Amino acid sequence: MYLKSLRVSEFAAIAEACLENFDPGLNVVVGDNEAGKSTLLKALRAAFFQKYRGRGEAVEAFLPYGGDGRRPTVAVSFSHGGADYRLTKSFLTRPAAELEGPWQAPVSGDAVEEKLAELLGFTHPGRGDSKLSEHQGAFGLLWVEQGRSNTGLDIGAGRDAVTASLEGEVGTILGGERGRSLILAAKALNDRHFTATGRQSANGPLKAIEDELAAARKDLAEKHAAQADLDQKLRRLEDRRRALRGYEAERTVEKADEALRAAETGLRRAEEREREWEAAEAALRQVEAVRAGTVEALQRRDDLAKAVAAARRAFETAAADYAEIDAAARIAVEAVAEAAKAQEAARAALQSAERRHEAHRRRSDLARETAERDRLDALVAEAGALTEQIAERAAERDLVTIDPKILTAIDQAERRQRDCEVRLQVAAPAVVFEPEAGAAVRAAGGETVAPGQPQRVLSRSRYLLDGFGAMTIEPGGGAANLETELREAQTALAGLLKGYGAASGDEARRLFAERREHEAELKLLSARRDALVPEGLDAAKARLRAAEAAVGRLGTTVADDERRGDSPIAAEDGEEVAEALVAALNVARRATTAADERTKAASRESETATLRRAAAESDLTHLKAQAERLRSEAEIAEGAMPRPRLVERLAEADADLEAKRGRLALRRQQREEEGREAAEARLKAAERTLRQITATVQQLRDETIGLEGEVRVAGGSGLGEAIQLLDERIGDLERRRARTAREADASRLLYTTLLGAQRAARERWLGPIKTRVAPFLKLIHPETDIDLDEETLELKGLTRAGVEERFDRLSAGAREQVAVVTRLALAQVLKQGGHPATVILDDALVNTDEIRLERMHQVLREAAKELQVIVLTCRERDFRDLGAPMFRV
Amino acid sequence: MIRLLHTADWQIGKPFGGFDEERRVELRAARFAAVGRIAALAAERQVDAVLVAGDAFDDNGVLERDVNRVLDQMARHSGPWVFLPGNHDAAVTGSVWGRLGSLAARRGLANVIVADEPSPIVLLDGRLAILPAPLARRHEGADLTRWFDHAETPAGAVRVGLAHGALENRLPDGADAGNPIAETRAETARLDYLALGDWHGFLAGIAPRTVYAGTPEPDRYPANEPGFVALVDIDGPGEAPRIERAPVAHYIWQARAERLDGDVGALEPLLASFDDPGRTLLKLSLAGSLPLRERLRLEETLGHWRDRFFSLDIRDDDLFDEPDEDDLDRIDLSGFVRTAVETLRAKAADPADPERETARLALRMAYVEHRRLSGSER
Repeated sequence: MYLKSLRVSEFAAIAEACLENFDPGLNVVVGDNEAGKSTLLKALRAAFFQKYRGRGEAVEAFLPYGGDGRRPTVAVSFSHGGADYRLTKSFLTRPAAELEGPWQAPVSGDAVEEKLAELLGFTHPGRGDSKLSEHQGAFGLLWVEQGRSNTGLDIGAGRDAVTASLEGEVGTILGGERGRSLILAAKALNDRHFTATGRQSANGPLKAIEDELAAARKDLAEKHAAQADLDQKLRRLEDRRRALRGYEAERTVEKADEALRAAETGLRRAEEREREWEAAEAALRQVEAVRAGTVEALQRRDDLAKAVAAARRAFETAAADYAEIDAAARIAVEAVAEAAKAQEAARAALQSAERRHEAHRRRSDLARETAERDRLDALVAEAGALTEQIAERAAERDLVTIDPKILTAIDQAERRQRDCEVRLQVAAPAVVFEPEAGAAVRAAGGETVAPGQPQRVLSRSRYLLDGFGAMTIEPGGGAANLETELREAQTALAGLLKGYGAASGDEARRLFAERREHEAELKLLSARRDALVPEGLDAAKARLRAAEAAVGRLGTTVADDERRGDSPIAAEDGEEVAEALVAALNVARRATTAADERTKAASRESETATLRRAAAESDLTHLKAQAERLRSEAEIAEGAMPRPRLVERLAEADADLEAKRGRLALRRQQREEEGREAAEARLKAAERTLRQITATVQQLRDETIGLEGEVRVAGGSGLGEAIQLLDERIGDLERRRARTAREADASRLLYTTLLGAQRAARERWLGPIKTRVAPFLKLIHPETDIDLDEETLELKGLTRAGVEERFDRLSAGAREQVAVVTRLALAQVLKQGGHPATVILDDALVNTDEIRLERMHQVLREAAKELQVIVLTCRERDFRDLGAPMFRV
Repeated sequence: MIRLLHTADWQIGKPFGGFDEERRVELRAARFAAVGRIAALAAERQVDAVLVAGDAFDDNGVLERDVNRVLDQMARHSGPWVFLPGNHDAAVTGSVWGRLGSLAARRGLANVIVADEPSPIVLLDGRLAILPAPLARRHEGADLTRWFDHAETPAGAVRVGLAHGALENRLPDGADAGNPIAETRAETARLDYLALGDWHGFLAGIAPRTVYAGTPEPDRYPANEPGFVALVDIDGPGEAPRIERAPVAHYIWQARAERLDGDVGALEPLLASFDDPGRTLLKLSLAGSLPLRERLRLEETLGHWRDRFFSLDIRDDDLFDEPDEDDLDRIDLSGFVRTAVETLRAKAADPADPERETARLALRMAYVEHRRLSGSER
């Protein structure tokens, strides 16, 4: 395929453009920025891939700005497969499509779309816009839009076309769809057994079998252990039974029993010896006791004799002592009697002195009390007279009852009465009767009213007027009230005066003055009396009575004293006498005290002497009794057993002791020869032996019974069967494991072999592409090889001097250069396969340096020998030297 | 006349671990059922005594429940049952016999006799004397029947020996020679009948008046005619016994070998020739070589028959895949798959390649998968 011409009108930024006579080889289309050269490529795509009836967003974009009603139209002439075609499409406004080709009449309408898809090997989308990677076949690869030249190949759906082209060239080594299915199936088989990293899968069948196997082995081991345990128990049981039979066969228990009985007999014999020895020892001890008793009796006898002598001597000494003490005691008693006598005399003298002193004191008291009585008597009399006077004056005063308050009330009543009278005189109407001569006027009471004289009518008054009749005058207003008030005032004053016995106010005032005088007098009298008897008359009288009583009492006592003669000087009392009496009294007191002390001392001495005598007497009595008792004891003892007899008995005891000692030595020797301890030890040993044997036999029996029980339980548990079953199962599992392992290995081998074969095939398959790329690549990047993805055919990277470099990490310039040469190579492959293969590059080498750009020119020239290549560029200078036809937009 | 039923090798409690759970249970149950049939036969034929010549139990530790089930099955015959301890159930300390005795006593059964002492057992009022040679351990080096020769029995009693082991020089080659029994014992001990156990097949006529009854219910594949009991009529001392072989088995165990070269056409008629596959356990050993397509056909055929036989045990260790051009062409004529297949085929054909077997299997898998995918495509 190659494009021959392109006409675009009213399409986006392009109003009208016409590019005629494209070269079948290299072409350059120059246009400044915004001139619309990229729009040309867009228009070209629209013509081929966009349905003319489309109304989508992409189609809307075909419309020029402000271009409602415009009709974006693209017309393309191209040759393909040896035939010429002319395609015209108009969008949006009166959309239309027409395709002229090597047939009778042009195709138009929807048939054009179908025809194009068939002719150029692309598809239309079911709905929506045509997408580069999905629908436009190899044209994503061939027609490179601005800015996409260094992002990769955009091979997309073009892969199938490339693949088909390649297969045509290298044969069907890929195996097609069937090969892919088989690989997937082999992978599924492999994946059953292995993980992605080739390790045995944790939930694969082999692992399951191995787990089962491990479980079975563990189970088997347990069963074996149980079996071993059972076997051991069985062996033990057999062993115990045999041992038991041995004991029974040799009568071991019975023999031990007999040995025990023999040992018991031996012990009894030993015990008898023991008793004999004990008896001999007891006899010896008895004789020793007899001898000791005799020795002790002798000793006691001698001691007693000594005691008798000592007691006698003590008694005699005590008797001498007692005589002395007794004499001393008697002298002390006499001294006490004398002292008592002296004491008596002193006390009598003291009493006499005290009596005289008391009598003198009482006489002095009598005189003092008498004087007091006389004074009080006079006082009481005077005070009594004053009291009588006070009573008289008080009575007089009490006749007048007016006090200042009453007097004030009387004054007020008088003043009120006067006030009323004055006001009445002013307020009452004055009537003046002036009767005619002869005629009289009389008041209601009949008295005549003086004519011509004004009459104050104070109240309702009736006057009889002769010849006239009666006339009643009724004073109005205040006069009547005043009259009533006056009467009340008069009544109040009269009441007051009458109550206090006064005829008038003046009299009342006079009476009050009198009362004042009386009161002053009373006060004077009271003061005088109070001065006399401040405590009151009654108290004075009481004191008087007390004084009288004291005088009476003292008088009697003094009379008694005189009668007894105690009064030393009857008549003359005086200070001197008193002092003398006191001195005498003090002398008597001192004498008495001295006598008392002497008496006490004598008594004490006498008591001491008496006590000593009593003690001495007691000692004497005791010593006498002791001496007598000892003597008596000695006599009795000697009477019972004279001392020589005791000496004889001691000698006898010594002889017996010697004999008994010899006997004991003999018994001891016998005992040591056949001892109890030895016999007991033998008995114990025999007992122990019997016990031990019995226990052993019992233990064997118990153990046998226990083991039989255990064995019976374990015996019926099917252990042997379980072991055999497990053995067989393990055998079975091992076979299965081997089989599964073989299957696993085989599936892996199959999968890896298939993968290896596929990889090798692809290597071969990519060969042609690499072959075509190689000369181009050599020009720009010598010693470099491209690396394509076997599946997607996308560029993976470069291998430069044996070092792999990822495509996306190359520089932008390197990327676009490599991508362009690869595209050219792929386009050649496509052309080989009979596919359309015109290459359009829109500013595809903007990142390329000058030197490489020059080399790229060479590449393009080289490629253009086989392919049509259209370069769209904004840099005319870059492609001026290319030697290709230039088109301007 | 005395009539005896002679059986042996019941192997009660044999686990059959090589089978899946369902078959295991059925095979175990079959052994009890066989005892039931023996009891029924004994009752029906009015035998005077049943002699069990050892290995009634597979192990001395047999489950208590299983012992009880045996006693249940024996109930139909109330005459004496004489059990001889064999090598599987030797009369050792803690053996099954103590338990059997106490369980029988508990049920009040007086007809269960355990012959665990080498001394005569006199039955039928002195008309029958049984001389047992019980095994007191699993393996005996000495001939335990030696004492039969000098055993005193009541005059006029029929002398019957009861032993478990290998009759010297009279068993087929390869038989276990443990627990030897002198081949002339019946004669030297003046026995009217020597009832033997241990050889699982029915074997009569190998020595005068000497018979192996075999197991009543087969338990393995070797073709030695298991599945019978012996019914023995003896008219009197010195009279020749009349021996009848009575079948009692339920399952048929068969082992076959088949050679397949190139195709599997012969297999179908072979498998179809079994009368009662549902009761048959078949061990089929296959040898030869098959192309992959025939191998697939083999799998299909076996898949069908596996469901019809009670058990179909295939041993194909000697059957090899031999993929031919036709097989490989069917997988792919070209492309990388063909390359891979050729690689595997080369490995499978190289005797020195350690992965030879694996490669064979991988080829078969490729073939199977390919056929499967093609099938799903169609």
